[in-house]
Formats: sequence, structure tokens, C-alpha cells
Amino acid sequence: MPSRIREQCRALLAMCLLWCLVPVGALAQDHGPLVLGVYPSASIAEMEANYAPLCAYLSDVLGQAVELRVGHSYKEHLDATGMDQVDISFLGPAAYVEMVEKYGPKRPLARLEINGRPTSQGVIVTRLNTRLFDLRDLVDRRFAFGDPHSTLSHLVPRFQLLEAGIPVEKLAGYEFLDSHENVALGVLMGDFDAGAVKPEVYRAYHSKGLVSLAKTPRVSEHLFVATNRLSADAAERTYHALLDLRLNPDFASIVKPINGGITGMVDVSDHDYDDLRTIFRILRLSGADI
Amino acid sequence: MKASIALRYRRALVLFVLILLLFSLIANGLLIAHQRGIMLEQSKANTDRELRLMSVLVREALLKRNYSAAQDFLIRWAQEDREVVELTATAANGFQLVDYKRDGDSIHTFTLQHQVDADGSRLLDLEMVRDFSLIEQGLTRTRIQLLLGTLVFMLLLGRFLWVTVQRLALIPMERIESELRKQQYRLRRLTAQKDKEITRTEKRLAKEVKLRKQQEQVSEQRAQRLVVVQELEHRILEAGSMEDIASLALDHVRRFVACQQALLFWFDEQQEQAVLVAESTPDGAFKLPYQQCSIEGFAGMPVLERGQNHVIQDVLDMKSQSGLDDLLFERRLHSYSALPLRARGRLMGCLVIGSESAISCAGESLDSATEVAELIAIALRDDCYRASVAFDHPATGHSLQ
Repeated sequence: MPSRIREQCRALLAMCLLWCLVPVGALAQDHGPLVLGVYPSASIAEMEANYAPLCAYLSDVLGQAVELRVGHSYKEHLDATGMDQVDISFLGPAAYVEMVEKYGPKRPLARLEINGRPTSQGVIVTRLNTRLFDLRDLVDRRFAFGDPHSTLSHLVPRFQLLEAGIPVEKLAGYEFLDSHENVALGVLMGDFDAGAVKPEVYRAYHSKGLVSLAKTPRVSEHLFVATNRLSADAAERTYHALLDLRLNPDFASIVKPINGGITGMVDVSDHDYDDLRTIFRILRLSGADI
Repeated sequence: MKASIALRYRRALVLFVLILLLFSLIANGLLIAHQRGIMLEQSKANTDRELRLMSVLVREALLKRNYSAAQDFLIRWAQEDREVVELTATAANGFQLVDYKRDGDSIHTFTLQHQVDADGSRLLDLEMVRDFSLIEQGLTRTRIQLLLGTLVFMLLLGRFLWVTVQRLALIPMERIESELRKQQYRLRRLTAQKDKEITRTEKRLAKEVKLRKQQEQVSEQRAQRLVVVQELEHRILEAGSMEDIASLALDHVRRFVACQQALLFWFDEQQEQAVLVAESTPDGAFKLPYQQCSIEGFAGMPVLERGQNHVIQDVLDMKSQSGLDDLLFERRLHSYSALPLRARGRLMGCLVIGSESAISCAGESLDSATEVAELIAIALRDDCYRASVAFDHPATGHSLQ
């Protein structure tokens, strides 16, 4: 039956074409999707939702799928970045400094620009009616820090307290509460007299009775780094993608979920974090276990 | 059956069904209220258990200083449960860790509180305002279903009762009433018929009684008259002269015949004169005028000769007046009856009874007068016989006298 033979020939031809096309698709991706690693500043579901637009943007620009990886903790994320378990990593300033100290330099790609400034400034807060007016009033008071690796909720404020003559030993007690929100809520609930939080959290809880006691010194903002796993070409393209993000018409919808104050991404170098390295050194000299 | 009776039965039935409906509605209301109470208590118990569970979980987070986790947990718990209208978690210092309010208010709510303690100190005060609109909606549905069910049941029951009452009572009653009405109608008709018959019979009896009484009266009068007539006859027959006869006869006429005057005429055939031999006046006087008038001019002679009464209702109505009429008119008599005095077929004279009114005497009076006339005629005949015998045979005549 000639028609049946013809159909079989067509099926064979189609199979041959498919066999030829599959390796081409596989070659188009170097080693699967790129992985963007982030530290757990909120729940995993929220993190995934917040970073999904950025992943989509990068996938679109880089021509390669970008997946999100939320670290289990600051430390784990830091180690994953240092050990090149992700391609692109979003780090806090202290985590970056610590990662470089521990695992060597990685290529900084871009740092956040918050409200037009690439630096951030933490807030030492207390609640209304605590009769605390100055850092020196914190003697024998209970203080709440965030994560031990957090720049704005531990390292910098601790350094500031030290500078103000109040090492943690002079406090009635201090605890690490893991997150900025916990610090704010711990202070508001009266379990702590003061604490250190990032400006966004301060603003969020100011209306509920959180008041500013002092502001910390400015340190360079959070940054994106390329691990050694990412090729130089991809790193370069990612670098440009991040810097050009502010030109994207969907800029606001991409970055606002991550941080409402982001106004852009700017160039960054390792020297931008030297001040923080100094803070680390001083704290270590004071006996802090960091 | 009358419409009013059916209406009365229907009203009574409707009233009964309405009362039953009222009781059913009250029972339904009590049932629903009881059910509501139970469901509300259950909901409160569940909410209390919920708050206790929340308290356990929140205490763990608070003791670990994980405030945001506790806050998120409480908010998410409230968000997941659409029946939570408000959830507040207030710290010991008054800070509200959670102040959740659902979009959309509810009028059916209850509030429960629970305290989160740890080592004897108060960590949080949980307060939940819970919506039990779903329970109310369910109860409202049940209420409507019960109401509709009860209404339908009552309608069916009412219909069933109506049909039953109609079949068992009303229709037979209607038949009986119809039969009763027919019998009543028949009875009324019979009664009316009987009444008519009784009335007729009564009338007939009354008539008969009256007639009999009249007859008795007549018989009695006749008997009396007969006695009188016999007495008169006896006396007249014993009378020796025409004057005596006339006197007795006219006296009788004056007493027993309803007339003003009575006149006795003697027809003298030889001289062809009608002689007025005697008359009685209204005052009872007896006269012997001996006036005469021609027999030819005497009124009603042909009638008298036939032995019939000559009756004149009113003398003034007469076209031509006879000598008798003139004579009577002089005595102011307007009507009169002239009765023949006949004996053995011979007209010997006449008795005239007159009246001042225009109606002549009739009936009983006339009969009495006729009897008297006959007696007078016989007496006059006898007197004539005696006179002729005395004239022809004086001895025989004397013995006859």
C-alpha cells in the first residue's frame, strides 16, 4: 500500500529532524538556568513573590532562565555565595565583607540606590515614654539586635554603641532577634528598651509608637555579586542589565517589591565597603564574636 | 346547604387551622431559638478552643522572641477564617501586636477573650470578634423552610379537613337538609291545604248553623205565627159579623205585619163597587169608613183576579193613578201590597197593607198578611153563606149561628 509507506517515511523524517534539533537546544544553555541567591529577609513565599519580577527581567535580558534561591539563613547564604553555589548573589554589606574575608573576592556587579543614595543608615529605636533620650541612657537597659550578621541591625549599631561608650557589657542584656521586625516589635511590646532596625522598618512602626534614638553611620548599600560560577560574559551582561534596570519602563514594578525605596542600581566597587571593614575590625578588637 | 352555613363551617375550620398554625409557628420559633442557642454555644466553645490553640502557638513564638512570626501567624489565622471579624493581640504594656479587622462588617457577632500567660506573667491578651452570620443564615434558611413547610402542611391539612368535613358531615347534612326542606315545604302545603279546607268547612258549618238558626227562627216564627193564625182563625171563624172579622183581621195585621196601615176592601159585584169596609191606622185605631170606589178603577184587578198580590213600590211612580191609589195617597201611603181575598175561585175583596216609605212590605210580613187574607176570605165566605142561609132558611141559619 503506497500511502502507508509514504506515511511511515514522513514519520521517520520527522523523528530524524527532532533528533537533530535537541542538541542545538541543549547547547544554547551553558549549564541550565542561572541561580540568583538571596538571604531570607522574609518568608520564602514572600521572597519568591518579591523577587519574581527581577528574575523575569534578568531572564529576559540575559536570554537565559534565572531562578531564585532563598538561603536558609544569613550564614548559609553567605557560604553558598562564597562556595559558588549560586551564579548571582544578593548580599547585605556585612555579609559581603564577611564573604570576601572568608572566601576571597567576587565580582561586585551593582549596589542598590535607596532614595537616590547608594548608602544606608540604620536607626536605633526605642518606644514612646521610655525616658531614653540619648545612647548613653541605654546603660543597664535591654537592647535588641537583629541577625548577628546583619549590618544595620547589629554590626553598625553595636559599633555605634561602642563609640558612645556603651559596650554590650554595660547593657542590662541584649538578644539577637533574627529580623528587623522582631526588633521593632520586641521594643514596642516592652521586652526591650531599645533596638536597631533598618529605616524601612522604623518607618513602618513609627506610627505604632516606635521613636528614633539615634541614627547609625552610613554604610554602602546591599549589592549584587557574580560568583565565579558565572562566566565573565554573563557577568558582564548581568552587570549591564542591573545598571540599565532604571531605564526599563517596568522598573518600579520590578524593584518595588524588593524595597520600596529603590531608585536604581549603581556601579559598585569593593572599596565602597572599606568603612564597614573598619567597623568589623574595631568590633573584633572590642571582643565581639563576629 | 345554605352558603352561610358553609361559610360558618369554613370560618371555623380556618380559625382552627390558624390556631394550629400559630402553635406550630411558636413551636418552630422556640425550636429555632433553642437551636440557635446550642449553635451559638458550640461556636463559642469552638472559638474558645481556637483561642486556646492560638495562645499555645503564639506563646511559643513570643517566648522565642519571634514577634513577627506570632504577628504573622495571628493575622494569617484571622485572614484564613472568614468568620473572624476582628482579632486583637494586646501586649501587657498596651501595645497592639495585632489589630486585624475584616473587610465588611456584621451585625451578628460575639466576642471572646483569652490571655496568653507564661510563667505567671501576661504576654498577650487575645480578643476575637467572631461572626456568626453563617449560623444566622442557616437558621434563617431553616426558619423559612419550617415556615413554608408549616404553611404548606397547614394548607394541606386545612384542605384535607375541609374535604373530610364536607364528605362526612356537610354533604350528608346538605342532603338531610334538602330532604327536610322538601318535607317542610310539603307539610306547609298540606297545612295550608288543610287550613283552607278547615276554613271552608268552618264557613260552611257557620253558614249551615246560621241557616239552621234562621230556619229554626223561621220555624219558630212560623210556629208562633201558626199558633197566632190558628187563634186568629178560631176567633175569626167564631166572629158573627164582617165588622168583627175585619176588626180581628186588621188588629192581627197591625200587630204582626210590618206596615203603617191596613185596609180591607169588599168587592160588591152587584154594584161593581170596591167598598173600604175597615182600616187600621198607625195609632191602632179601627175605623169603618165605608168609602167606595169603582171596581174597574181599582188598581191591579187583573192581578188580583189571578190570585196574585198586586205590589206597588211607590204610588208616585205610577203613570195613571186609580181610585185605590188616590185613597192611599190621601193617607200618605207611598207603597202598598194588595192581597186578594179569594174563596172557591171567587175574588171577594182585597187586603191592602201600606207603608209610608217607598218600600212595600215583603217576606214574612207579606206571608202573614197573605195568611190573614186567606182567613178573611174564608171567614167572609162563611159569613156570606150564613147570611144567605139565614135569609133563605131562618131556622137553619139560626142553628148555624
